Amino acid sequence: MTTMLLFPGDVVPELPTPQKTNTALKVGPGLTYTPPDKVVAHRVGELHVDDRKCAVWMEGNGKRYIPSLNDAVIATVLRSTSDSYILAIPSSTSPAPASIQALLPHLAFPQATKKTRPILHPGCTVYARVSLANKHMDPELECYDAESQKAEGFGELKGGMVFNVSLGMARRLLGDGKKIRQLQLRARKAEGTEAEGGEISNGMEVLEELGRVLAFEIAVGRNGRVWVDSEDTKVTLCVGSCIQKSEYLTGDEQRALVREALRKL
Amino acid sequence: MTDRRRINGPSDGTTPIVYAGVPKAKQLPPRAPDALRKIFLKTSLTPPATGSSFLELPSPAPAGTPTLKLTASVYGPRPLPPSAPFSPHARLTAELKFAPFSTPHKRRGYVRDAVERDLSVQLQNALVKSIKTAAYPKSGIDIFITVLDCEGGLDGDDDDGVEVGLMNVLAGAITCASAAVADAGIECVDLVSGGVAALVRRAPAGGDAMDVDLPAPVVVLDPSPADGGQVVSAAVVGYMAGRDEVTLLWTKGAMETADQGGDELDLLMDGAITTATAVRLVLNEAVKERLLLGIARSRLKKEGGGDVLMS
Repeated sequence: MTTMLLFPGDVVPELPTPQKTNTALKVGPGLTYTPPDKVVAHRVGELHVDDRKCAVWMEGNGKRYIPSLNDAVIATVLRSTSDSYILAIPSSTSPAPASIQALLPHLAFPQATKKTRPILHPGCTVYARVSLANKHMDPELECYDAESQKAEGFGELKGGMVFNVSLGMARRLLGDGKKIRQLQLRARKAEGTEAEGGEISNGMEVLEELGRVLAFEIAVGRNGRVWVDSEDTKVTLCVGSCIQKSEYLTGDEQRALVREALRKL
Repeated sequence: MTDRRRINGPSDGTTPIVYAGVPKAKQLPPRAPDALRKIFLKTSLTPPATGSSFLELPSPAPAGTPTLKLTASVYGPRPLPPSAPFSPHARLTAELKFAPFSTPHKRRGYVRDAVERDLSVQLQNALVKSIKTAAYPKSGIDIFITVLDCEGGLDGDDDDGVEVGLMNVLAGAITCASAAVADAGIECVDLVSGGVAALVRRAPAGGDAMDVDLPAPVVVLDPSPADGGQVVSAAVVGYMAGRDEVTLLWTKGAMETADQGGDELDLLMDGAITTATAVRLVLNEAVKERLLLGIARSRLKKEGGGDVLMS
């Protein structure tokens, strides 16, 4: 399977043909659809086509995070107003004051009332979900799961340490790599070249390998921040540095890196 | 008795500093009029910037020959300060600065001068049409270009012809800034690349300067101030190859337009567009190189790496 790279202004050469008549074509980020059948790339990236879901999207690796609905992010509390907290959503390169500001209403916590709301102080790290993303307005955050209305891991992150990774790496850590891997495996199967081309990494080997030996807590924000906590500071630092180093490594190299780090620990 | 109110010189005197002479620029091997110089372009070299790139022309340059070296860094889209008025589009600012040591024979000041301001505005105009500013309301995108080294040819024009140094700087800056914009992942409709072409009249070998029969000027792509010959007129374009659109045109010198019965302007523009199209290939390769580095994780083989050279 060859990688298809597109540059701004390039036209997507072949669009997936819907298998059922009533499926609409889904055009993902980085692409713009011009009727009747032209899709133009507006960003540099790798094109992915999913025939089954009839979807096209671009996978790139930016440094600046733009909020979108239902993304889990790691944000920092700047201050509190009468009914909401003002948070900064930092990207991997931007310091907190130069980042996007977001609102986290006081009542956007599971079972929060005016009297029983969690108190967050300026500087706190919060793991939250984007509940409103609109390019014209400041994004809004929530600290509970949309379906179950329970915390599900969202809320203040106490202790631990936050590490920076690129946006592409953060997406892979959250499992997007697995989807792409499945797509590629399916494409190979269709071409009948399963044995060739070597192993395809899902970008998460580092976490799987670390989790087998060490005990730690981790939260990954789509804004390129990774929060790690464990009983031992040494373990926290080891996990963080392994994740940061594994950005450009293949699956086998990631495993080797973790083995080396564990030996030194 | 020394005067306490003035700064006195040292009592024992000093000797004036003697500088080694400026080495003469070596003569480059002659190029064919339609041959372009090789470009070195690499992205993501400034860690704090959202996107950045470095351009060197020509590359590899023999020691002692003048080169053009530029860095571009893009910051943003970042929120505008609260004091800024509301803007439904992203506000793009481009700033071009010559480093004090960039020009041969002469140091430049730190304060922005008229030339730098003029080039900044042209650069901004060339880029703003390619970026989807409507996608980022209330934000600012800042592009900073630093000229680290330039080939000279920055003096004013005279009867002897026009100077193409500034045009080369502008074309390089457009290409370099586009690479940085693509590296930053900012949405844009197309990438802009810069190209220069000039009408050059070369003196016939062994001919008398006062010869009445001057040779007809020929279109030279990517002219260098070190090439020699009398540059009659020159043009620089910012060109979006994917959409076949010109975002910027700057011409210098005397040329005949179509309504005067000549086609010199068209020749120059076509030449500059040809250059820009070729430069776009280098731009694509440079951006691709960085992208493949990230994609390589999923294949066992690492692709890319090494210099991007235009052949």
